[in-house]
Amino acid sequence: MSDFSQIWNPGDEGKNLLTEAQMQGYLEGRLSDEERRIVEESLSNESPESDALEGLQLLTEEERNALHLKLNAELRKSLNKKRKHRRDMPSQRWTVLAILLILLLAVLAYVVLFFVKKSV
Amino acid sequence: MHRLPHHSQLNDEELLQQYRNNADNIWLGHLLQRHTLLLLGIAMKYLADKDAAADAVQQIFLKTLSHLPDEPIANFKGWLYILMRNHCLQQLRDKTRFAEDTLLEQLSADDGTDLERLQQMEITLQEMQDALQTLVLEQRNCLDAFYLQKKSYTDIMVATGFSFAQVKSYIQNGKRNLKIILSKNLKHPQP
Repeated sequence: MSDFSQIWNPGDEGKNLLTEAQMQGYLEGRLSDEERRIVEESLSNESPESDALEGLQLLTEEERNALHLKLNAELRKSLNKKRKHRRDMPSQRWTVLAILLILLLAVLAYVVLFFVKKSV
Repeated sequence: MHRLPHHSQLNDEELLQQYRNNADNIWLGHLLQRHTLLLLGIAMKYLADKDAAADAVQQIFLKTLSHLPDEPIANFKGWLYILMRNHCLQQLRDKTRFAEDTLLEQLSADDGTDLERLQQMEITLQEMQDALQTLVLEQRNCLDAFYLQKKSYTDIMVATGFSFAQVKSYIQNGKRNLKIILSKNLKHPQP
């Protein structure tokens, strides 16, 4: 079927697993001809990577790198905030233990008072 | 003592599992950071504005950190893609105030052509060439240049003056139309 068979390689619809490194390499023109071909064949199928590469072409390399770094930094900041918040929260386990201890003391106090009263 | 694996050694689903097992956001952070560029690109495609796209990515990060569903996610990247795309479409919808529900369907719909069946069928060179001739000129030229002449996207862009998005779109749509035409011909062979 000549080179027409290249239009549909068996199962090519599922082969869209480009990594971030492959996308970055493609956008920066760092890939070999063979690696570039793999990325471009993936582009010809509908996939997240295909949409992403189309969108990333709208940014310059500087804009892309700056936004990439900024977004990752913001993400780390949000994560640290959430982790700190969690660390600052009092432990639920200790709260439950404290309640149980108070209840136990109350029961003991009642029993003691009951026997003291009875003996008097 | 049990040592936790390094995040780079784990695939998406394993990272997600680590997050669920340890209830530590750091795993989810590693996972999201792996897809920042992907999310940025998708947001740029739909919103075509770098500030709006960056905001959208941040919102998706926050949404994932705070509202990750408890149900298992078999394909995290696909899940993230749909979340990002729907978020962008919602933003566009809010902006324009006239949503076309069909847009979503159009964007996500597969053409339903049974590719495997098509591949198994004996499609002759002549049938393929005939089908190719029925495509619009731009799709035909892009398919021919990319698949038959093995040209790169850049070569095609230089030769035709099309943008990257146009070349990609002509190739994708050309492939889809070619499949539809060949499927029809297989169902109703012409004498």
